[in-house]
Amino acid sequence: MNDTLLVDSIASAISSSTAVLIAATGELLVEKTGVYNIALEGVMLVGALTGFLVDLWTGSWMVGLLAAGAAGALYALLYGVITILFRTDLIVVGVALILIAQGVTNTLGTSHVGQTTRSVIPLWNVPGLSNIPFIGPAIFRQSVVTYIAILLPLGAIFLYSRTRHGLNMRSIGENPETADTSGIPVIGWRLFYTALGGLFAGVGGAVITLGIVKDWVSNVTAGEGWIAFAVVFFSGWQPGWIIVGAYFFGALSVLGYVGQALGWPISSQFFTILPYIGTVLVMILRAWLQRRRGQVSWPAALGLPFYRG
Amino acid sequence: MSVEPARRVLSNYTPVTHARPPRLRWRIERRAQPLNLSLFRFGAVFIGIILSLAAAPLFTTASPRSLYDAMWSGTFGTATGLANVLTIAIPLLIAGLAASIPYRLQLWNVGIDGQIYIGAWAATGISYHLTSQRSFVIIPIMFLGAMIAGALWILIPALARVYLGVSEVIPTFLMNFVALGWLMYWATGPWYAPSAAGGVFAIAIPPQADLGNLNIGSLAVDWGILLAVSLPILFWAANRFTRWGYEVTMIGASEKAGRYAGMNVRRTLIAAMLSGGALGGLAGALNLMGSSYQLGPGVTNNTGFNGLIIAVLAGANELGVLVLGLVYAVLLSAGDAIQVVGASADMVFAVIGITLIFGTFGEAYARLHLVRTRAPEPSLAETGGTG
Repeated sequence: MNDTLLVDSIASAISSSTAVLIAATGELLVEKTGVYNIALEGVMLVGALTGFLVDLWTGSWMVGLLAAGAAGALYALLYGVITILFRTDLIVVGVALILIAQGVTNTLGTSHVGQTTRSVIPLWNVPGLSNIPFIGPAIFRQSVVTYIAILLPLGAIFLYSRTRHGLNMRSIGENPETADTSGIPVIGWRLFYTALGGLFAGVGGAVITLGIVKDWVSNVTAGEGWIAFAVVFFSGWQPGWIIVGAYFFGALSVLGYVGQALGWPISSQFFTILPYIGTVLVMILRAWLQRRRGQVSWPAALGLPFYRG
Repeated sequence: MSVEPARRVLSNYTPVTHARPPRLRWRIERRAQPLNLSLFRFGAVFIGIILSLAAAPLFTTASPRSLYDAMWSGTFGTATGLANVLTIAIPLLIAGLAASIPYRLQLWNVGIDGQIYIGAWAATGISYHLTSQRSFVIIPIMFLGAMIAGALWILIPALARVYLGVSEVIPTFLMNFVALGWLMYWATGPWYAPSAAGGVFAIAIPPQADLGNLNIGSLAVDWGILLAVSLPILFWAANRFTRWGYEVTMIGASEKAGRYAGMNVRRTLIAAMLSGGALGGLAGALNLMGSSYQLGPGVTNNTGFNGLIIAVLAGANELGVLVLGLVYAVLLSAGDAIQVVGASADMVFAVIGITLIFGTFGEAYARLHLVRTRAPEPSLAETGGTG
């Protein structure tokens, strides 16, 4: 493999993982409170279209990202209200909201297909580091959002291991009845974190349109929401592993293109399916190990509705 | 942790004479006796469909008249429209069954689209190897191969669920992407057929693998419709009148009760999931042999998801699956038809999603009610404020 191809593929693996990393961190925050937002793909799609349209209107990627975050938060809050407040089934409502997001974004976006964005998220050369041969162009010449995205899971580590609030949020996910008894507003925080996770996912969606694809395509997220969802399971609900998972998945998807460019005898589809097989195997392996140790890694109340009394 | 609340109690102590009157608050609570779940669910779905149809003109530039005309001729108005409804209904009904059989046991088969891919892939491969055979040999073998492939596709998630307690939702879903990648490898690689129209297609299956048409007057629909209509009725009867059905009902209500009654719970769970997978594979084969004839990612267009929705809305009742499957096939066919007047084909997915939300709200209304109660005295936490 020659150097420029290697540099380019590392750089594109990192940039294409950014959206997944942001969305997965948001999803982790939700799941820690015992709710999983299975509509992640739909939320990202809503964010992607909002970011694109607002950018067309204002010509500013930053406003686009903010609007996408707001739209994502609102859409996720809708999911939260339906599932958490009305105790409906998470999977059913998630599937419904994904279908609605697909239908609405494709209907509204039809006239914009192929149109390029007015602005794109700029690249930032890290002073000094970006001039290191090989490593510089591969890692330190990324869009500004990429650097922020890595900080998000680190922030989550701090939240859950160093703050009282993080401990309370974990208790909601582990045992909402106990949390309620000790006075934590379970429903309120679950709704808040669902909206916050939606904000992250919305921004992640807009990163795809404004930073990676740079124009509008129908179903532009192309399953990245599901990858983000899978990354959280892959990580075993540990924020640090979210970073590993997101970049690992991104690297595998780029390997397919590299293989094609170099004429490897392995089909590019092989690399696209690896992350999914990997996640299933990791889940099974983790369950098997935990069964032997007699503990579980997921929040114990994940996916269960909360009733008071 | 143990000291702090005690201190708060003391600091928040107020003499009884100053106590505020209890606050009246709206709360969502469970009904003591739930209303008729399926009635409210079905009713809400039909209200959702009617409202969506009424609102449809707002989302297109076409005139309402031409929109509704297109919908009518694409469904009941013409023989081709009705044939399209039934063609859509065939894999959809089977996909609905593929979801409803595990769902009776509270198991989610979210991987039906993947099973459709893999079933269609297996059927295609078999048909390539049996090109010299006659129809009555090749068709049953293709069906069987597709069902085995679909069942194998769900085997690992099923075993992981039953023996390790890994939720089947994520693994079955992720296997969809694996199936799609596998299909794309074959359709773009060894079986690739160059196509002028664009899109990914494999070489067409041999003509004797075509299911052929059942002609009723001017209506021509392939033979698969008989299977698609009779299987739900068959499964309904099996669930109602056989020992298997009794076990499924009992274990579905409570796994523990089933175990205490001496039933083989694990075997039943695995059998139900594998049946779901096999039916998903069958849906793929039926689509391939009845309408697409070429393997490609188009063998399912959210068919699996739509099947899951139908099963959930029908409350896993197979006759409900039959009714709702036909209703949603009409909707999907109308969605195809309105493209003629320039409306987006994806609008129909939004409509299906909205009806599903209506359905869940209908069920929520039957289970929950809004009550205005006197809240208990503010708890420690509401005054003390943690979190």
